[in-house]
Amino acid sequence: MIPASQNRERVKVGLAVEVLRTSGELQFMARGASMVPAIFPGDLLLVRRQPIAAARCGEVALWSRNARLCAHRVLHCVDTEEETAIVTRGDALRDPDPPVTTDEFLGCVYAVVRRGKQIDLTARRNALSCAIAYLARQSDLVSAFLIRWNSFLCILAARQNPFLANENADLLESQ
Amino acid sequence: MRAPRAHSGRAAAVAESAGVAVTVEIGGIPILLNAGDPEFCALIERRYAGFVNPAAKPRLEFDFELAPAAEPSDEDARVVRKGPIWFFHRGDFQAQWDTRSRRGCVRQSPNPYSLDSVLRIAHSLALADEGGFLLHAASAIRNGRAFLFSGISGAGKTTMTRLAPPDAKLLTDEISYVRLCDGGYRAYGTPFAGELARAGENLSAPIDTLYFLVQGSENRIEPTTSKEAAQKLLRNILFFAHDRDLVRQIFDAAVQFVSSVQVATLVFKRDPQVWELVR
Repeated sequence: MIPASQNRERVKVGLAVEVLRTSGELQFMARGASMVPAIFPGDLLLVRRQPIAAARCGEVALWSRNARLCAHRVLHCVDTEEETAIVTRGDALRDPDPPVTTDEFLGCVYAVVRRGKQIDLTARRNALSCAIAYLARQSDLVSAFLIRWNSFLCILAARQNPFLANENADLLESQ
Repeated sequence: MRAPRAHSGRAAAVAESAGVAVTVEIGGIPILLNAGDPEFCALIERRYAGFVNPAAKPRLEFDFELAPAAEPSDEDARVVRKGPIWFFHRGDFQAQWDTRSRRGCVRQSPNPYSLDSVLRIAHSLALADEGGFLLHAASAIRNGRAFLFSGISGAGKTTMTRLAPPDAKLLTDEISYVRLCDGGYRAYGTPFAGELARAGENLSAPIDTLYFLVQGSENRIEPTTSKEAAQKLLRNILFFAHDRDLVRQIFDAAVQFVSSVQVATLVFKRDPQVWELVR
């Protein structure tokens, strides 16, 4: 029998996939830190459904595996006679993920909303953000610092505008 | 609309004994209604007979300001939160409720329909805080377990209650009251009646199964996946406010419910034998 907590996650992911398939769009809150500094825990991800063949290197792909959603950057595409797959990796991770197949691929994250501002993720990354991502990949300390710094900025933003409640503030307080 | 009066527990008791206030306990959540008028108070006591509990310590409190009679409204209630205060509004009533003091005030004409709506909204908000919800569903207790029959209008909620055998205790034919207690879900009786025009019994029991009703040519139970169940459940939960935190609470409550309670589809024909599947 599947534990209730695992079943809960399965249901949530199932509903999210259903929303994306039927409406073509999905918004959900990021929880992990594998895409720091492009995506922070608490960011709202804006996802658009698209076929895997339309995914390009550098885009952030959303895929589902083992009842979990994952948004990682596309490193390269693998085209075989049978099917197309993509290889992805989190910006803050050293190792790439196992290839993502057509069945697992859901769409691409085109923007995130952080502290009330929408940030375009389709634009080409500049040298600075690539350098920060490299440092985050090399050092867990840098990654942790970036998360805490972002959470601090979220708390400041929430104090200035109470309607701008952001998950990051809760995350920092719970750390 | 005036602000809620500050009452001590003693003042509330005096108001109750003077016949201008009444405590209505639905789903184990007592609400003190300071009607301010003996006639309106008597109307409340008649309307919620079986759910009046003067001994209960109120968890919520509402002061009433009676307005001239108005036509009951068919429009949807608007419920919005500004800081810690909820505002409920419809053509036939206005209300506000402070989540910090758990007190509020209502301006409405002395009719039971507006009061029903205010109570449903107040209960749905109070329940959301603790992982429960109000559901468009009939419910009944059989063999010490509660069974819920959910569906939109016309799905067969009232029909199921009319077909119920004598040993089934009816909790409601319209709005089921679901609470998360001690890690499990319980269904409570409510006075909110549908076509049956009869209040449910003031009882509760652990929930055994939630059935989604489908009318057919035979009686049978079909399995439902948790994802389908969550989708259907979300469609049938009473939901009044487009508030981000409330949406999250309701979503989490629905997912938690389908992850821990049996859910199935009950295909049925208008035949009392359907209750042989429900035991």
